[in-house]
Amino acid sequence: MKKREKIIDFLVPVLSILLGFLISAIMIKATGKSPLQAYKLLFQGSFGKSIYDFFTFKQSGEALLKGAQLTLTGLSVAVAFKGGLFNIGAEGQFIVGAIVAAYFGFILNISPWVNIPIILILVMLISGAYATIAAFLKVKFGIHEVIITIMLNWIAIHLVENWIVVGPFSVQKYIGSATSAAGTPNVQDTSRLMPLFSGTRLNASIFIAIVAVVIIYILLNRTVLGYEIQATGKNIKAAKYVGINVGKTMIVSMFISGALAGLGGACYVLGTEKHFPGVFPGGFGFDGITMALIGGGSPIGTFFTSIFFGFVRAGATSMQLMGVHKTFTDIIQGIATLFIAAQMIIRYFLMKIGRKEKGPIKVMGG
Amino acid sequence: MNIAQTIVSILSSLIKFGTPIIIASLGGVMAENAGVVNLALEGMMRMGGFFAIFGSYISGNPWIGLLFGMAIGALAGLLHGYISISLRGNQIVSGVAINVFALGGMTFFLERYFNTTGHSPSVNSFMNSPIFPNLARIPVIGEFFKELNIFVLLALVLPFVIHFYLYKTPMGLRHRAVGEHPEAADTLGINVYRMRYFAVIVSGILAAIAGASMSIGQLDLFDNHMPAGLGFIALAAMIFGKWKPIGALLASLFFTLASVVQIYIQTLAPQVLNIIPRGFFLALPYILTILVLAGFVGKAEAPAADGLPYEKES
Repeated sequence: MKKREKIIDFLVPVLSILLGFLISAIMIKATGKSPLQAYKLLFQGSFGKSIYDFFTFKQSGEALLKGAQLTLTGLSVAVAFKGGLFNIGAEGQFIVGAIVAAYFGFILNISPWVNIPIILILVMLISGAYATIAAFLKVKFGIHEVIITIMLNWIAIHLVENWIVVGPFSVQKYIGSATSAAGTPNVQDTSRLMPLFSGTRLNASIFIAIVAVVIIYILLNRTVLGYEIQATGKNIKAAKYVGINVGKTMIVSMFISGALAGLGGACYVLGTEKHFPGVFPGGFGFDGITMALIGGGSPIGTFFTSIFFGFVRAGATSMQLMGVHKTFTDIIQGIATLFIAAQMIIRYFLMKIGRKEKGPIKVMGG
Repeated sequence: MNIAQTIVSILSSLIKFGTPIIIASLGGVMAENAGVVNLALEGMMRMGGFFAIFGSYISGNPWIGLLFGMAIGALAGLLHGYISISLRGNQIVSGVAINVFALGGMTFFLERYFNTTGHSPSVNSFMNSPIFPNLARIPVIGEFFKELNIFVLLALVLPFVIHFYLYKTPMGLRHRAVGEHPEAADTLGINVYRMRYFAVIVSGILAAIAGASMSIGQLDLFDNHMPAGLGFIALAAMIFGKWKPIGALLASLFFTLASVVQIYIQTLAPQVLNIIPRGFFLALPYILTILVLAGFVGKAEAPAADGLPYEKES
């Protein structure tokens, strides 16, 4: 029984993604285009046209870069889930991390081995602290963290994009008003995450993401703190009863969650953008939510989901050749997440297929 | 510009820009008072905004456009209801998913039907079509009536209609009972599921009208950035308004005031922005919402069973 539940837990996200692709194929078909052709372009755009392409990271480098980015915000949301918190605020924490990295990346200029660790630690502390506001208000006043984190998103967006980036830390202020550049000044070369191979943008953020996944996995499954976080997330009353300080635990898990989202922002600025751009592309935090949900809320599941969607996103750019816009992946992601929300249907059918004895079917809620 | 003109002009931009927020926040009020959290307001606005343009584009009639928008809103509400009520899925997850889908989906349709990912072509709309064109010719206060199109009228009237419905009618009492204590409501013979479906479908329709008020009300096209976060502002306004329709109206107007004042300062007294940056005006509504929730500015409390699926004992 235990084993079958595990298989079903694994099949739910796989089937949700497949259904996402299927329904999206119907949408492409309905527009008179060939879904097979589109998915072929998607595949070639992500893995490359040949084995040679794949191993020289021509396309797959971009996919892994996107996957690393998704992993960090996904992991952020997943840790909060484990602790029983829904962190809608990864978007805001990502932006806080991005601006902090842009600032310290600009003012520090020692050597990569000094700069980057210092910047990443500062980013994690500040983004973590920003996220902690939500956990603190939940513990102290009992306000739902979803509401607070949504508010914190917009506070971060407006204060950073409509104040810091255009005011005290604008490129004009530092380089001179003559420049037509927008955003913040570029970070020092010693602060940058450089491309690993020529001809690709893939940088060390993939290693940062993998290390983060491993650390979070060990933290959750092999430490007392991880046990306390999971116990609080599973049953807050029972956790209180066995003497866990649930308030403190929630604050700590939110801090870790915010630190991870901030790390994502730092990787984006130090690796991909080189500065905080004038027009910041949003949506990283929301993508993280869907990654964690499809990944079943576990660090490993979130990692594989993120890498998978990294490939999908990298490939989607190629679908533009036949007039399918790259935001098409949002449709696949959205539909897959809808099925995660509606997973009772999938579980019901899987239980029906895999069982021999008769009687009412007991389906676990999501 | 004299004082009277400035005041009238601020008031008319207030109702003009506040309209989508007011209508969407009423969508939130309807769903959450029946116990269903609707984080999908943003996505539903986006769908409504696009399909209103699409309907008007193929028919040449903005009223048909509005109907299209409302229909897609009802469908999105039905989907959210099916997941949250019948399947007892996670309402927040469902809301997030609808938002993500709307983001990619409407870009997809925009490209499919209008061959662009920027904005749709202009269609017949309610833009610059005041309900009382004669009153709009009156000097000074005419400016207010110039903005008074069908959506603005709805935004000014609906809060009171919904207030009357929720607090003065037997059905409204049932509506709130289902959100406060579904078990008790069920015992009294209220069909909890049906009530919640009704609430969440109306919520979808209202959010879609709010989206349409941007695309075929304020403008005559759908821009791919729409609704640019107004759905989340509406959510904040609903909370700031303490989950009550008239509260949501006032909160929406107050939030809009922050951005309208910021626009006026930018043109009339730009030096003020050196002391108080733009970002502060824009972040203010959200900071205040947190303060309200923390009880510093009067306590705001959600309906007791808000966000909890209801499972009938069998």
